[in-house]
Amino acid sequence: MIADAVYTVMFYGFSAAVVILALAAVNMRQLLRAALALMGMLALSAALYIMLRAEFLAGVQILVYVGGIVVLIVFAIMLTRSSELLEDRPRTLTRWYGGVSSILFMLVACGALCTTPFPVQSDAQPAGDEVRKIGLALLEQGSAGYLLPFELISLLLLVAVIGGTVIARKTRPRNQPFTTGGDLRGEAIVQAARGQGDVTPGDRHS
Amino acid sequence: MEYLFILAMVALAAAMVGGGLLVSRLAAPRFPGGLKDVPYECGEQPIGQAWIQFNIGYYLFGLLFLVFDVEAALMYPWAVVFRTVGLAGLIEMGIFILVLIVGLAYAWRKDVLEWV
Repeated sequence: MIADAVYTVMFYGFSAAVVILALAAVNMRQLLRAALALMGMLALSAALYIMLRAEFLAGVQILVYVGGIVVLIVFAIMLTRSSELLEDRPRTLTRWYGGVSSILFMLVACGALCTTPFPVQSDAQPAGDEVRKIGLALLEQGSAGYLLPFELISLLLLVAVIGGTVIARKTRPRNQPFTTGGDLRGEAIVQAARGQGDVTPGDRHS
Repeated sequence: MEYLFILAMVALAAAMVGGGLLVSRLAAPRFPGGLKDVPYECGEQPIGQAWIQFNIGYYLFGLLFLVFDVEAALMYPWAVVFRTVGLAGLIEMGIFILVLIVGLAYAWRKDVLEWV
């Protein structure tokens, strides 16, 4: 009885925190703080998965989303220039696009959730068996299995690698041994210092 | 319920960090001003803003990490049922990894793995 009450309180606490952090991630103007809020929101939804006994999903959530995707988002933020971000006030038309498309997406998601039957199983599943079931379903070749989606994931990842490489690759500068990675003022300072011949590149960040 | 220990550890870690910050806020004397708001950069005078544009290489390395992160997450259920699915499962996972290795080879060929 007490365990049930604790469970309920924890569930609503985690859910409220997830919603608040998601709103913070959308609404914060400082992008790095928004990314941190997103990270907290994803970690807390992993806690919700654990409460639903979906341990594998929780592990993947932490491993891939918190450990991978948020880090990628932070890198993407650091690639931008702060001045561009501060001047980035969305126009009214852009706001309308965003609002309409978010509402449409919410309608589609709610419709999919409402029309999908979720059979409630009265007997609790024994823990530790889920990963085995996932593995068997993933590699099953028949119509009940998910082999084709599984192999398509690798194609999707391949597209991500090649697309990222094509878009973001810098041609290697041949005769430039040191770069500050686009920080032009810093590079100018380093070049000037090198002209005087008393500063080596390693001295700036010791 | 076995996750209560993890929850307790998270609470304890938060309490340690928050407690340290709280005690230093309460106990430490505060004399703001001067150079105290300047970011600490190993004793050097900081040059320009802290928010510089980072090397694009970080993003590409992160992307490659993410790809093989997903691969590792998907290999885990395969490893659990490996004895059951046998050779067919090995071939299926082999195809999966082969496709990803094509991506790695492409990135390698295009000098993404070189740090410029």
